[in-house]
Amino acid sequence: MNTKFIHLLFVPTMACNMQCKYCYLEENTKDLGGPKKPIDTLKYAVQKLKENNVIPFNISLHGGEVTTLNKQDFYDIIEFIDHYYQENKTLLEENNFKVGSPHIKTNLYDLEKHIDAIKKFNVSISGSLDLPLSLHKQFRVTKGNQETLSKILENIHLLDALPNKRKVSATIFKEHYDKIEEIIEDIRYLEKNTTLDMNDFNFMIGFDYASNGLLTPLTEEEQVDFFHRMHEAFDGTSLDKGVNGAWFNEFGPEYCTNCDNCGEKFFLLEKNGDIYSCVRGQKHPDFYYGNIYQDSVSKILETAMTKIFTNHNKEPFLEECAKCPYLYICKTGCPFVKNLYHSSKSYTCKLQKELYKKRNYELDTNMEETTYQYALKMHPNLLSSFLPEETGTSDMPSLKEIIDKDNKLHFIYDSNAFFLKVDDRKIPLESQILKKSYECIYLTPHNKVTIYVQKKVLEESEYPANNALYIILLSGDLITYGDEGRTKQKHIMSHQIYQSVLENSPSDEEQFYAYDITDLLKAYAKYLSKEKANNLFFTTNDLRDYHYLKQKNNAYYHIQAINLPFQNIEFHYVEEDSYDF
Amino acid sequence: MISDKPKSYNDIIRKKMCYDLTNYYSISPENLEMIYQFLTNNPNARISGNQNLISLFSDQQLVQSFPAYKKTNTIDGLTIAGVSLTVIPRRSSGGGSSGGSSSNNNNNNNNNNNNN
Repeated sequence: MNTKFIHLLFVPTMACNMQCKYCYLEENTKDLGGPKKPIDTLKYAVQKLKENNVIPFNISLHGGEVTTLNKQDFYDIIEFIDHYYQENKTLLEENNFKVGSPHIKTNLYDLEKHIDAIKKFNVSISGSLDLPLSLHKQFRVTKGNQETLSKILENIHLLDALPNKRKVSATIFKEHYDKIEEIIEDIRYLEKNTTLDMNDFNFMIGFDYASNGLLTPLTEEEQVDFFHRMHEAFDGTSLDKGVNGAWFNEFGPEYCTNCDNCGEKFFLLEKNGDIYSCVRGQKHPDFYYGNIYQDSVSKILETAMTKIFTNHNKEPFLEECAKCPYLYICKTGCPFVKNLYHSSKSYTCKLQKELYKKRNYELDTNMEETTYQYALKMHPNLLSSFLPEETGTSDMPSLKEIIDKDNKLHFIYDSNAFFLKVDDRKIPLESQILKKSYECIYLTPHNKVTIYVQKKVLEESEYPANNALYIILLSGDLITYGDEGRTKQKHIMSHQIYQSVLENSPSDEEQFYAYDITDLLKAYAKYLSKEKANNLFFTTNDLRDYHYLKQKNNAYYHIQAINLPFQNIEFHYVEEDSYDF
Repeated sequence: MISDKPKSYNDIIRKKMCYDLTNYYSISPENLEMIYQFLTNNPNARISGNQNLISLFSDQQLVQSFPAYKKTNTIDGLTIAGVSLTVIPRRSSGGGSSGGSSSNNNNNNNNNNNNN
């Protein structure tokens, strides 16, 4: 069994010491208590995952607010993660994961309470601020409505003498964007007056979700303008690395949205054992994967994969995305936000395209294949629409290229030359060896089956009166015969219907001869395979002869048309007593 | 096993299609029964399989999906719709397909003496 590596976000408490006016968790920022200590849940989860060969390559802490934990609980969790990384260092590094130190996401308000543990375990800190800081003062307040900025800035200085990584992030809405000059000034202020690594700072783009009506998402044009304004202000400065890197990395391929199905990799664990997709999906039933105490790991993993697949399928896969040369990086965006907006594509689509261009991400030169592989995984119902064209190898012309150079050969492979009608259903017939998918139909003795052949296919013969519709019936059962000793489908019947007969058969399609083969099939029904699909081919005497002549004259053709090339349909013939179900 | 006894040709076909599906995927009896009922109750039903999921669509809307593992490496996926089952042969990355139920019917009998 292969080891599966996951990203695990642990939420040891839902409590928060602040009451930001736009908080997405709203009334959920209380610790609900319960019998479990957070460290017990984390230990239990990691052990249970490990027993099932699932290894977190990263365990990060998120809130609520982790610093609201008492000192001992915080210490125990950080110590456990530190030891976990040490114990699994070799395994993780062998699998190309970078092993860091324990990491917390925090509002920085109660940092001093845990500074000893932070020092001892070299905890990496990611703080949240509002930029500009004037809006931080306004929005990010305590439960008693007191401003928090002064204390947070003081707390940042607690880290001054420490080697720990420390960074901050900010979420941008229209209210922030409107004060963009202030944002720029405040970034410069933080760089100059704190030891925060402002090259490791990052922006998030807000979306319209539970902000108590206080915040307005940016339009896509405003997002792009924001991106450019940041570049204008910081390219070539001491923060050049940041603006061209971490600041906007959330919209690059480094983050969760670069997965086809993020449910295979990203998990959020709460203290009570509940598992969700991530902070966006937290508390949302569509992104709830189960409970580590109650459900098996395999059940949780299956639920995660299935739910994310389902969420991506709530909106259709757009042609625009299928043809986008950046699909290979974007994967159509976050399913949570797509569903929130009832949109099929990423809410930061334009910004992402600007970023990919600016950072010289290559346009996909193998787009058809990328789209096919993406559809295969995430939209299998559309798969047949995205089947790529076959290409020849460098040392041999493709079959299609050979056909294009030979007018007569063209008819053998023409997908408009024949079609079948089963009752009123019209079934196009394609060459067996050109088709990219294989349709098998289910026929019964009650179906009326009629073959239609384009008149000109028969008439473009040197001697049309001597030409015939040529029908070949093969059983799904196999037989080994011939000098080759090769196992093939068993030949049941060949049937030729000459033009003089076809001319006198009624046809409801002007350009086509029609011939009812219902009785022909019935006559051979007892020889058909019951288990495997049988095979019915259509061509003409002339075209069949030409196929073998071409095989004789052209080895490249022979190699690629070694199986019957004619238009065909595979079918099961279902009779009342056929199956003992 | 699907418990319903077929009463019509359509029932037989649906049942046969469900059992044919199990040639390609490992599906629990409960899920197989569910697929059969879904096909029975939804005239525009479409069942799609990829590498690890079977999905049930009605009028292009995903109704349900569940994990199911392929029993063959010769296909990328398949679709059941109406009275047909369409197989997408496996593509190796970079193009080219292999497999398909009818990749073994070459006919080298090129004596062309039957133009009488």
